[in-house]
Amino acid sequence: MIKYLYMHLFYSKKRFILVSAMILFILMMTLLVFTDESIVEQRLYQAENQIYYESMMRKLLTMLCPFFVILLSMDHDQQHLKPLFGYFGRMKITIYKLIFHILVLIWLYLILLMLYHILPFFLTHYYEIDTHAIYFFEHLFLDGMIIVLFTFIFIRDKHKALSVIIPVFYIVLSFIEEDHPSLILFYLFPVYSSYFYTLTLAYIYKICYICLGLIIILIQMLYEAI
Amino acid sequence: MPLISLNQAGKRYLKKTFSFEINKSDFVLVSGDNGNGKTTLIQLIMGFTRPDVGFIETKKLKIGYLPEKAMLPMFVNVKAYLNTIAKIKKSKLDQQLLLAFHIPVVKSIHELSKGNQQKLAIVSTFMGKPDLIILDEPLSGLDEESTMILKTHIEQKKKEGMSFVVSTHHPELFIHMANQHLKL
Repeated sequence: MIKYLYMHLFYSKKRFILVSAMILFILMMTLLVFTDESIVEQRLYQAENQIYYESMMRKLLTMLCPFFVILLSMDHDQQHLKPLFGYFGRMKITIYKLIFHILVLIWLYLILLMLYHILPFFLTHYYEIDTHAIYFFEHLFLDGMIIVLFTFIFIRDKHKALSVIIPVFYIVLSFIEEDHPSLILFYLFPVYSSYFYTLTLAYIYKICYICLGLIIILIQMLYEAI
Repeated sequence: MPLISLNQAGKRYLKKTFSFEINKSDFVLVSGDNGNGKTTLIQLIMGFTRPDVGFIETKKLKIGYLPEKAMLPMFVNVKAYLNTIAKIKKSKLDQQLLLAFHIPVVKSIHELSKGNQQKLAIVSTFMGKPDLIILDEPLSGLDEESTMILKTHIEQKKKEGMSFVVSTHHPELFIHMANQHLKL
């Protein structure tokens, strides 16, 4: 089933779009990493340079990742799955769809994590690989899951162009959370913010939020008229 | 116990209800004018929509469903599609039917004509071991030769004990196989 979903999602044109988007992303990262400082200066101001790179990259990733996720999940509701509902049952197809999208997200975020470290490591003389980025990527991955859940709940094939609203909404929310951290807003939409990112409970809350979303999706998929 | 049992099941907009049973090896033929509820009946049987009135009892079934309009993933190679469907349904490709239909397997699905897409959808519907096969307008887009091939194939499967629900505007082609004929 995963192979069937993969075949549909990564057909030739879509693969081309995804690879082009990834190349564009790498170019943007390269531009950000690029520095005209001398090697000595880079090493002298190592900590400052590293902090600058990390803060810039986190902003870029927070803005671009939702669009990648939407590009991958907007086609989730497909008519050709309808004949399979009769054979395998709605529950089985929905679970496979969710597993498939989680696998795609893991694949995407692992590539981004790799690029996040590899590009500055080879292009600069200040960068030192540390494990802090993993926590950031964990949050970003959970945010990706939340976006997928919202897409599954609200976006249908008839109006899939509207799916672009979700990443825009996510970016606006993360900007608001950055400038005016609000606990109530975080309870409603637990998106990444550097303020709540340091709280352990925020991580657990996000996981609970995702579990609730998964239950809503399963109930919706089982009882929705298609 | 019947495979599917409908008890006064219907939708409000349809202004009629359905009461019948589908048992093993049954052949239910559904015919009638446009807008009389053939597709709605099939959607009720499939569980795609819930009845506003009455109720439907179903066993846990594997249903092979051919929609009114072929629903296929467009940008996939025909051979890859059929192999994947065979793999996920844990069955082998029906080479006989595939050869009889002359489907160009090296092409991408979006490159196929409407008739060939319909034939491909028919082949994938019969794959696996379905307990019941539901065909909604199976003859749509098929030429005379393909219609006869499909008819022969259905007759063969019927003899093997498969259950069918067929909705069509050409009931005369299937009437000899039917043990229930619903004229809507």
